[in-house]
Amino acid sequence: MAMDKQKLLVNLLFRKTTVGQLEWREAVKGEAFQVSLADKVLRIRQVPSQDPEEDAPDYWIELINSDGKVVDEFNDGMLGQAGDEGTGVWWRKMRELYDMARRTALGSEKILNEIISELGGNDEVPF
Amino acid sequence: MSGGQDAWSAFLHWMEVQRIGDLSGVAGILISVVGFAVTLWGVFKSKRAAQAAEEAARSTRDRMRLLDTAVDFSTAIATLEEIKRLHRTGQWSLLPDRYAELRKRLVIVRSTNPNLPDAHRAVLQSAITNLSELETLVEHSSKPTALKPAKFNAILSRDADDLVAILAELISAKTGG
Repeated sequence: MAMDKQKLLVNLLFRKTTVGQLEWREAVKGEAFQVSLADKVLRIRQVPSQDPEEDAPDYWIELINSDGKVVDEFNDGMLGQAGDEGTGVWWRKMRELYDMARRTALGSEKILNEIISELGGNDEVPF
Repeated sequence: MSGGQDAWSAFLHWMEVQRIGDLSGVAGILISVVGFAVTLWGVFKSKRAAQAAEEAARSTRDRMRLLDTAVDFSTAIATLEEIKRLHRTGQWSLLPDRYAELRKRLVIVRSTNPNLPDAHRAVLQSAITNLSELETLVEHSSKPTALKPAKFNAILSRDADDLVAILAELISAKTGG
C-alpha cells in the first residue's frame, strides 16, 4: 500500500495530540505548528488550496531534519489518492489535527480547562 | 683438617636430628606466602591509586566540559536576546549572519554533548529549526515590512526560556545542587 508510513504517522500524531502527549509550538512562517523530537521536527501547515474552485485549505505535513531543513512533505490529498478511503477522510483528520495543534500551541485548550475547573464546571453535569 | 670435618659432620647430624631442613622449608614457604601477599597488596594499592587518579581526571574533564557547555548555552541565550533586539529595531540585513552563527553554535552544543536526554535534544532541535527557517525567510524577503518581528520574538523567547531551563538542569545534575 502506498503512503502507509505517512498514514501511520498522521494517525500517531492524531492519537498522541488527542491525549496531550505532544507539545505543539507555533512555527515561524505561515499558519503552521510544529512539534520537536530529538534531532527532528514535524510540522503541520495549512495552505490555501491550489485548486481555484476549492475553498477548503490543504493540510501539509513536513518532516524536518536535524539541520532544520524540510526533507519530505505530503498533504491530505496525496494520502486520499493513495488508498480507498477517499480524500475526505484524510482532509477531516488532518484538519482536526491542525486545530488541536493550534489550540495546544496557543494554549487555548489549557486556558479553557483551567477556567472550567476554576468555575467549578467539572462538578456540574453538562446540560 | 679432620677436626673441621668432624665438626661439620656433627653439625649436619645435629641438623638432621633437629629436622632443621624441614623447618627451614616450612619457613621458606611462609616467607614466600607473606611476600606474595605483600606484593598483591602493593599491586592492589597501586591499582586503587591509578583508579582514583583516573576518576579525578574524569571528574576534571567533566567539569571542564560542563563549563564549556554552560558558556555555550549562555552565549546562545545572549545571542538570542541580541537577535530579538535586532528584530525590534528592524535591522534585517544584520540578522541572517546572527541566525547562522547561533544555529552553528547550537549544533556544536548538540554534537559535543551526545548524552543529552531526548527532551533536551528536542529543545535544541526546535531552536535550530526556527533559526534555519528565520534565516531563509529573512534572506529571501523582498519586503522586510511584511516580516513579523513580534511573532518571531515570541517564538525565540520560548526557545531562550527552554535553553535557560536546560542549563539550570545540567548544572544542578552535575553539581548535585
